[in-house]
Amino acid sequence: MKYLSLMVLIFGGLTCQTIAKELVVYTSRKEHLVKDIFELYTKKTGIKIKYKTGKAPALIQTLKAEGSNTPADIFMTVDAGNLWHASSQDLLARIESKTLQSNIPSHLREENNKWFGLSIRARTIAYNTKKVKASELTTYEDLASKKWNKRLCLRTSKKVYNQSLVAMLIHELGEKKAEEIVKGWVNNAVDIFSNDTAVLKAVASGQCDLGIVNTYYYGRLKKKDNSLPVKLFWPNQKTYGVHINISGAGVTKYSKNKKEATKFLEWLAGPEAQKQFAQVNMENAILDSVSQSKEVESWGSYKGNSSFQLSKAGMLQSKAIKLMRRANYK
Amino acid sequence: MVLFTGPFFFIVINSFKNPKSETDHWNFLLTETLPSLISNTFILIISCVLLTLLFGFIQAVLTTITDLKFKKYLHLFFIIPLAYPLYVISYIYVGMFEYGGEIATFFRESFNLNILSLINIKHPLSIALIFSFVLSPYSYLFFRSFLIRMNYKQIWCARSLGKTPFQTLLSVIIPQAKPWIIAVSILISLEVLCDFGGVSIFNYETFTVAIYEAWMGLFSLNSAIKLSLLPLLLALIFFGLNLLVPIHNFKIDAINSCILFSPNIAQKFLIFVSVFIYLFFSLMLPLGVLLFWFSSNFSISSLIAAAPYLFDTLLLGFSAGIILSFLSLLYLTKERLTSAFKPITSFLKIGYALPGTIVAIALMNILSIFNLNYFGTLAYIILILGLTIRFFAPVYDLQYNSYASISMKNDWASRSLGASKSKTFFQVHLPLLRPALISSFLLGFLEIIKEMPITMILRPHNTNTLSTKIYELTSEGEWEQTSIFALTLFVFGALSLYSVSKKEEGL
Repeated sequence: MKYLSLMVLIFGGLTCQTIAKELVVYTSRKEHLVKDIFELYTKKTGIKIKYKTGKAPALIQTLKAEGSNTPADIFMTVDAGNLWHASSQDLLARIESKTLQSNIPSHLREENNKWFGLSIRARTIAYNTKKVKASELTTYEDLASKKWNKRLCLRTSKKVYNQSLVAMLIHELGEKKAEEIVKGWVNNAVDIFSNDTAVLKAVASGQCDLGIVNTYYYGRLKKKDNSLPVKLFWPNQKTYGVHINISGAGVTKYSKNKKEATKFLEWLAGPEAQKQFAQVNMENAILDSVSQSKEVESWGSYKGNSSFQLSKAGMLQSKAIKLMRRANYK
Repeated sequence: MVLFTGPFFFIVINSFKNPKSETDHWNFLLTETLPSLISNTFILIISCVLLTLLFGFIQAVLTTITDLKFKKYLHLFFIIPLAYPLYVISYIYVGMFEYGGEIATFFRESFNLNILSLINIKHPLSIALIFSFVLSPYSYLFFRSFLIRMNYKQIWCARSLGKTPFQTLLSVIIPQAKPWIIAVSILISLEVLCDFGGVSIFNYETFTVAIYEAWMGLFSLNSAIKLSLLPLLLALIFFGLNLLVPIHNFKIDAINSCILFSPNIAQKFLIFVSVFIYLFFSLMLPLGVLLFWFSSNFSISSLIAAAPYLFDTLLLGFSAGIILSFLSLLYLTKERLTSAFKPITSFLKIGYALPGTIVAIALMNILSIFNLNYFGTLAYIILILGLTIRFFAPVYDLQYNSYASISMKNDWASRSLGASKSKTFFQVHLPLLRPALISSFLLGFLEIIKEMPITMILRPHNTNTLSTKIYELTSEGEWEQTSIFALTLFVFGALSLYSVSKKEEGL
């Protein structure tokens, strides 16, 4: 009887260990944006998700330093430039998954399937409704024209979101034209801010008439104060479309749980998780079938730039930074 | 020793490497960025140094050689702003004085006055002024220490020869303060040089901002390392200067109090108004803003949510603070026994001159040789190691002053009575050093709870401190949401400063 109890304990323990597998995620997404969804996955599958948050380059550096000894199974971050960098450092594994390939459009994932977009965010124009009519707005390029002189607010060029936007302009228009546009923006700028929220507040308070921001910052601010005289405008609808970027993830090269990690990514790209993953930050889901939140829907639909393969945002990032420096965009 | 100097050698060795893929980036930084970086950094350093020297010296004069009541409380108020991390006071001021900020809006709506036409909060001089509110306590403490230790007989001589108090200040006191002026200038320069959080909020480009851009934007670690070489060289020059002008050799005068200035009622009123204006901007306004943001966002759930961050912060502050104090004591004791050891310990202070990001990257790369996994307890040890490297210098200096004031005669008496070296240490040195040990622990604790880049990069997966949470929120522009975390940080920082002050002043 004593031996039987011991056997039950040992096998019971082993079984528990098999069920209670865990995955380790290195993520640059803010804790409050991922915590609930990780817990939901644990509830559904019993697989515990441990995570470490930090800036993307710091997490990439950690992955490099840890090498094959890394405990990380998944690298999750915002902006395709960061994902491209992780992949170019050979830190991500190639994943063959029909679910991921069919759910995620090709321009939102890496050509070799090393990373996948999980939510979409647009970088667009926000304008003060008391000072600007929507009919006056057209394109990113137009913001460089003299009619916007001392009417534009910008976020710092140090932010990767602006670097990706300029990388997209380089891709669409060529380096020379892109530089002219960025120079025009800088000439028209009233001020350059450290974050998008400050840009939106400056637009709302009338310091400037319009700015370039990520949509979810607008959503957050509107949620706090719905009376703000600010609206979003979708530029370049007759040409290449609004600049979009992603938050996404890949399985690490040295993950010991590649199968489970892939399953987790598939779940994140599926309808159940997509709704929460995108809605928690007022972003757009990757899946068209997933309904958007009421706030996001109220901003209207737009044509995103699908001709810009997001890997290029990473490839062109250093070019974009140098261009912005030449244009005196601080 | 190897680990302490590891980041230094990592920078030096790697800066000579020229990976082909990164050559373009380095050339670009060299031609396009470096000239403006150098001028921006020096403008900010020089302005900060001048302002902190001025503020700190005046404050020290007021609390030592001026006939004023409530000097003990003034002393406390002058040091409390040190509890604000630079990045916190920076976003408070930017948040309030930007066009859409509460103060700018108030003036616009109430008086139809655009204060942005009067004050440019992002101007280098504005940044220097805001930084100097937080950095002046360092300068104040140095000058206060000098004024307490100085030879008052010279002041009496000057006065008896007919010099006015002001002439005495200019011709006797200030010339003697030169070593302290140099020491303060070095300390403030290094603080400004290593700051990233504060300057990035103002979008003001200094070396640390460029290091970040090279690493995080251009993905060029080699360029980031090369950029760190210049601040490092500057730091070495500073340390060299510090060794040439030792401030520790001053002996406390037998007469330990002297009143040079006895202001009349009108002068006292003027002093009161000036001090009030200074304290309003350096202490009360930032605190008021945090309380205002806190009250606008207050909820019980937000208080509960802050608890785990506070726990992690205190745990890290206590553990790293104790280790820092212990290590410093260990080196000081060794130094006392073997004087040849001193240059080595001086070199260990180099970590204070390195930006936190570089210390963290260097440590990660050095330890990658051992193929370690940073996810468990080891990650915590590495984090403490990083913080120890970064903050060894201030803790060591504070203990050094006390150790140096213990006369060697005590050692000789103890040894001649047959006590061993270790017994002398435990029964003579340690009891005398107790107040300094507590103060140095509190100083280390304060620096660690405020620290952001090393903690951000090296912390284990389940460690989230107040400073990392503040960073997370400020990077998204959620300044109001940071108030609960920033206030908690301020309260614990202020408490540790109060404890230090209580030890020294008997408050």
